Amino acid sequence: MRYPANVSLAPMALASDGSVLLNIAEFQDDLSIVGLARTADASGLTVFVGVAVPPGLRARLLGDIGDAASDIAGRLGEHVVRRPRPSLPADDAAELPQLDEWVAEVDEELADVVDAVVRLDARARQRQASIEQTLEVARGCLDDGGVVSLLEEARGKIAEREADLLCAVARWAFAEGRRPPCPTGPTAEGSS
Amino acid sequence: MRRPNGVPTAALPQLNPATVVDVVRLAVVVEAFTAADAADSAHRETIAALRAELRALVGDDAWATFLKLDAAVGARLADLGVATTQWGFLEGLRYGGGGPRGDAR
Repeated sequence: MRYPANVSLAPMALASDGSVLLNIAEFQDDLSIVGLARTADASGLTVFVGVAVPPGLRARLLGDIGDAASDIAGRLGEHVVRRPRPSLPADDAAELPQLDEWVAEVDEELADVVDAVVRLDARARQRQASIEQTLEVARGCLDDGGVVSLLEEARGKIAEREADLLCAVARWAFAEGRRPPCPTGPTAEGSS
Repeated sequence: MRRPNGVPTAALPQLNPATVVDVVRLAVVVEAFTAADAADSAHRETIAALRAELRALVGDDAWATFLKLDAAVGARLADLGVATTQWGFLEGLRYGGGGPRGDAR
């Protein structure tokens, strides 16, 4: 008795445990469930008994499998793929000074290196030129010496803040760059 | 390695290569770092006090110029924060040798 409509004729299947399954229907004419089961049992090999997921559910199931695979790939990715080395957009990137553990640790050394980075930044130079022009305008608005000195004091504090902050940023970014990838932890900017 | 400016290690945002090359995302992360930096908070307070003093002493026209100046200074610092982070991160990758998170600081 043949029931070809109910029996898959796919010659082979892969199981999620890694097994490779051969279809008994390939080897015999009797495609009855009982006949196939008998032959499978007689082989002495592991038997997989299953049914095909109905077409209406297949898309959803494949979507779920895709989501799960995506999660798994995300977790595995950092183990199997080398971290891509980002490239700096800065045109002066090749000239940028190098940083090492000792320099990153010593405030004065780090400040010098960060200062060099700032001086090489073309956009920062442009912005600084614009700031100087606006400062000239601001000074021109003032006829009170006390206010001018207050402005200069503020300017000094702003420069001090910039230097301190950029050193802190550089120290943090350096440590982050040295940190090995953490496949199960937060992946990016989330922990602030 | 010493942690930056007294920021608790656990509070430091994390960086990865994808974030570092995306300047918009990176700017947000750097901003979070800046907000958590205790030393920078003290600087900001000092500057805000000087700003308030200046505001009380100058007229509206001069103040408009100061606001323009303030915006330009802020924009420059934001750009430099991103550029410095990119450079520091790349240098960290190049130098390598860090331990698990926290050990490197």
